[in-house]
Amino acid sequence: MKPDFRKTMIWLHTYSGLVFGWVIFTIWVTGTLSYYNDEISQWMRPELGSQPPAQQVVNRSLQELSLRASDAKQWRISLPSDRSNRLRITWSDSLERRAKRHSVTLNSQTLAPIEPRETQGGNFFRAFHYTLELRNYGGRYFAGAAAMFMLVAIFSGIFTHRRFFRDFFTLRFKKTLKAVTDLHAIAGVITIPFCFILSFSALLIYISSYMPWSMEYHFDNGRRDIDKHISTRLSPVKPANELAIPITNFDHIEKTIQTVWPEKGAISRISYQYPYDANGRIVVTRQPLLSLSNKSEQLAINPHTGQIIEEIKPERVARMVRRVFYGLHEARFASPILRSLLFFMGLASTFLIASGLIIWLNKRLEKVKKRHLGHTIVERLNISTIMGLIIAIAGYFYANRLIPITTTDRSELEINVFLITWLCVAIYTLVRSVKRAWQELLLIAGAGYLLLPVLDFIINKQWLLQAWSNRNLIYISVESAMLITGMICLVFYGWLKRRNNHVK
Amino acid sequence: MLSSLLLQLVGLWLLSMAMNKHYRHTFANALTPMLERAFSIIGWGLLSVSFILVLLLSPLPLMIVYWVSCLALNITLVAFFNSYQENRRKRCSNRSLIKSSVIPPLK
Repeated sequence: MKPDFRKTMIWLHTYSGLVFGWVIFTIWVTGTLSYYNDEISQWMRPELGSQPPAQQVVNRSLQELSLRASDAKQWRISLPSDRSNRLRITWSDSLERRAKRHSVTLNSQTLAPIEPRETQGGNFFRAFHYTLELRNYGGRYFAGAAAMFMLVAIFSGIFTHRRFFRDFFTLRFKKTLKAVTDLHAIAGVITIPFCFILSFSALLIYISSYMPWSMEYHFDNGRRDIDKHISTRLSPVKPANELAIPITNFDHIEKTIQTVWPEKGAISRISYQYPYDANGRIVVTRQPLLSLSNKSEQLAINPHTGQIIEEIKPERVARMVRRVFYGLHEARFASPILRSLLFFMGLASTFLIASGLIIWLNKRLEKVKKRHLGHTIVERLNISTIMGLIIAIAGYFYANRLIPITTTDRSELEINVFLITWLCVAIYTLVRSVKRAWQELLLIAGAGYLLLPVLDFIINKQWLLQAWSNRNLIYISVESAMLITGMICLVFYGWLKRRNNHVK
Repeated sequence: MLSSLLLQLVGLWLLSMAMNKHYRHTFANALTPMLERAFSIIGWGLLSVSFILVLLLSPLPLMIVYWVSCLALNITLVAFFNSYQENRRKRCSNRSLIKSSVIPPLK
């Protein structure tokens, strides 16, 4: 008998989604949060303050560097941007990548040194979404397999939900399961390009880890060698060992840079390589706001004349294709509106995955008279993954505010709180009935997120008041997002409670 | 940019109206073949114009990302709007049914 193509696709969609569904959900939630990596980091380091950067921030940072590190081989200034309020000066005794660096964070208004709390901030979500905290245990391979399964689920989903293309824009709200199925389909349709780009680029980013054999066959040092051959970079700097005083008034250099990069706030980083050498140079890095590629644009400038001496050459097409996919994945180019649209699509994809897992279970429970172990496992895994992750994220934020600043290995402790909270929720779901577990965990999540801004205000009301007076929309938006998340959880809690009482 | 996105929203809504099911729920009568063709042509036309408008802006690659991202939001908006219209019409027709079946007052 000829196999039914659509039935095969439905089977593939169902099980490709189910097998890796929980991992994909975790990756998608943390990945979506990574769109606001800098913003979350800003909230998690309130000591940095909300003040706008001073006018002469580069010149004053250079003065600070010349006082602190006149013997250093490299100075670096990481400037604050629209998304990050962190001003950091760094110096090292060598230009080697692994050279020991000394770093000081400065108040962007007064340039006084600040010691922000030790935290991974939003970067934790970014790292977690592709390592799953299993960096040395094949985390990237798990994430890669999940991306592959996601791609399979996307394409098989097109055939599975073909009705939706016929009844485009239809949502049936009469029955809960039908409404969830329709919402699942609409989320699937609107996020097809988004999910495809992200899953495909995820594979492309780590292609050298997933398929290293060709590189290892053709090059002695595998990936490192191929990178050297196909990546373009500024030519290496050779010190002349002759003393020369560099320009430390950056205003003139800034005007020269503006002729090449005319946009406002174009510079993200400034490096002085061999600052007191006649052959030294300044390297400026552009903010990645106008290009899809993740390749940093850089200019080399003569520190004695202020003239541009070198630009990075364009890379080969194949390399550029990978760079563009990498850039699309990270979306560092996104303006606030585009970022919010991408965040919306991230949330829609997250809903797509979670609803898929719930639909799988409920459709089967409707049909069977007696449930088996598989149903119970999926049911518990659904609750512990969906609610566990939501509560664990809240736990991570609580840890950020409650763990004393002087604690050693503080950032690791924050991550441990995240993981332990998740484990506790998983155990909790095992000992409670399903209905109660959903309800109670929604209540805990709702209350947890609503109380986070309150806790922040109680610990130090100046953080919020300063953000308010300086119109720091980022700090206020993060707190608002917490309140909205809390309210959504409570709305679902109320709906579920009414529904369960009605069923009784 | 904003005009392009508004055109996209209207274009999508017109395309949804080219479907008998949605048209019936919104306008309470059946869709004629001529209207269906008109809605389809204008809908696709507006979508094309909105895309062309985006192509005139720079930087072009970023604008295309904008357009595709907004497409997702606008499809969701149209889907929710049509469902709201459908529910509203059903509620109205239910109410009129109840009114017509009310027992006449006793003399």
